[in-house]
Amino acid sequence: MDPRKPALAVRDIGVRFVRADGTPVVALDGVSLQVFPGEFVCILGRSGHGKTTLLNVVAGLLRAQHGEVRVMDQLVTGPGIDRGVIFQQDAVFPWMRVEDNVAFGLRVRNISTQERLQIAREHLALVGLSSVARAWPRELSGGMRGRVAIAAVFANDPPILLADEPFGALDYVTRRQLQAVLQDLWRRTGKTVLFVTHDVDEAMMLGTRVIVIKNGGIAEDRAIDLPMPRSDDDVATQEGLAIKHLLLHHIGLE
Amino acid sequence: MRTNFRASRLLGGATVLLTLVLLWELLSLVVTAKGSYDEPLIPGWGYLIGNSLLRMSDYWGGGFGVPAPSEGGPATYAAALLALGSASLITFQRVLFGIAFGTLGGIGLGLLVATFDAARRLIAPTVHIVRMTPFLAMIPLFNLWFGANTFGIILFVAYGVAVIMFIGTVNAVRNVPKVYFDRAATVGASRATVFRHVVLPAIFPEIRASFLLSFGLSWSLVVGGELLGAQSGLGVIVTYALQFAYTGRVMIVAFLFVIYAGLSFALFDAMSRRIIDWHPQVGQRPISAQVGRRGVGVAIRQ
Repeated sequence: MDPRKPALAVRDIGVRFVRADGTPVVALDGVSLQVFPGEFVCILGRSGHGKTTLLNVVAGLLRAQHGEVRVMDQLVTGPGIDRGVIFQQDAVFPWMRVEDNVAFGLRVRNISTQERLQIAREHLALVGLSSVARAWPRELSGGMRGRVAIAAVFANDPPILLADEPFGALDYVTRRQLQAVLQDLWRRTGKTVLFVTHDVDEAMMLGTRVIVIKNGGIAEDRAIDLPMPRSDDDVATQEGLAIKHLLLHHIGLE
Repeated sequence: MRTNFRASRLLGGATVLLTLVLLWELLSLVVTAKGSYDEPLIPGWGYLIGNSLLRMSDYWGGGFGVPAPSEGGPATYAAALLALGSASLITFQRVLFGIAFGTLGGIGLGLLVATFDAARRLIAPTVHIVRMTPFLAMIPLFNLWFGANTFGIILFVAYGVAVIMFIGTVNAVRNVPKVYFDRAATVGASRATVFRHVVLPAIFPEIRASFLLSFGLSWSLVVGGELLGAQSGLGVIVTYALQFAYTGRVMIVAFLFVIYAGLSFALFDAMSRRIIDWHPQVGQRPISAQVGRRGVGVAIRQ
């Protein structure tokens, strides 16, 4: 992949909804952005400002009325295996054992049982879940299911990873652990990531770049040039705090 | 813990049963009124077993070396049990085929309607009109159309079961969380894969619940069908007994239905539990507790 060519290009996206009572809502208005190979871009914003809509358009799950999305110069017309998605809700299939969940994408692609189970177990090992490969999802904690979702996406090996507030519903400790797991896998694989979050600290901890979405448009697009992997100390430097204040300002807190 | 739970449940059930048996006997001693053919309205256990059960031999047509009382043979328990057994087999057969056809038809139509818009527009309004019609009101029509024979009764049971399975299936598909479809789409799943690996397993718990519902209903439907004009089966015994106000005989057939419905319920529960092991609410838990939780049956979960 040519690092100077965008892995993902969003051009002039516009999305409108009509509420049940007939009032129109502009969810996204002329959003354009480019994500380059290997970047970890955090989309930050308050709820209701269009973050998830943007992610769904990029994933191909939602059609925009205006504009286009290109992945490695290919026009996006629907969901595709070049973009793996970690969802906001728990999307682990409760009727499949953990390893079958991780292997599901490979199964869809008709990869042999032996091979896909081997890949699934490798990825379960990477997220520290080797011991529960044969368990049912109902026997796992929310944090463990989060790990399953991460393993399942990485097992498919998509060049682009989309995440929609995947850790939003987890407790602080679990969230921090999963952030570390995701960051570790990202550093190993060099995937391009678009990560939606409402959490300033999460964006600061994970992103190489942060884009703030406000009222359906881009309010800020800023690189975070702090070392990777990042510690709390790295974020608490003068430069880190300056970025944090800027982000807090954009989401209306300062 | 688990065996304890089971043992206490068993003990509780036995206590309730014994109490009911004793209360019934007490009631039969207090209420001594008789019906038109000198049959007690509340027959005690002695009468039920000594008279009603024995007289079931009236409905035995002869065979297996046991002569029929209608041909001059004595009223024996062997003839009575043969009469009940052969009638039960006929009724079983009708229930079984009715459930089989009704389940296949109902789930099939439900999946069609849930999957294809064209099918929804075509089939759904018709089925919704049909389901508003009371089941029992349809018996005479089924009699006229298909005859008051085994075929007609099977169709009638199948119709009742199909209506319930149809509604259950359509609702089940509608209740599958969208995120499962989204996830399948993002890994490139085809429509067939989504159907096989997402829709079918996701709807199974609800389908199973509908099936249990239709299971109980199918026993009512088969009796309803047999009461009106059939020539054989348990319902016919009830019809004859009713003509002479034989309360005891009606009760014995009613007991049989309770036992059959209970056994078939337990059998299906045991058979389907393994498939649904994954389910957070159902997995490894007796279904009676699950039904009780929803307020349908008696909750025995302490």
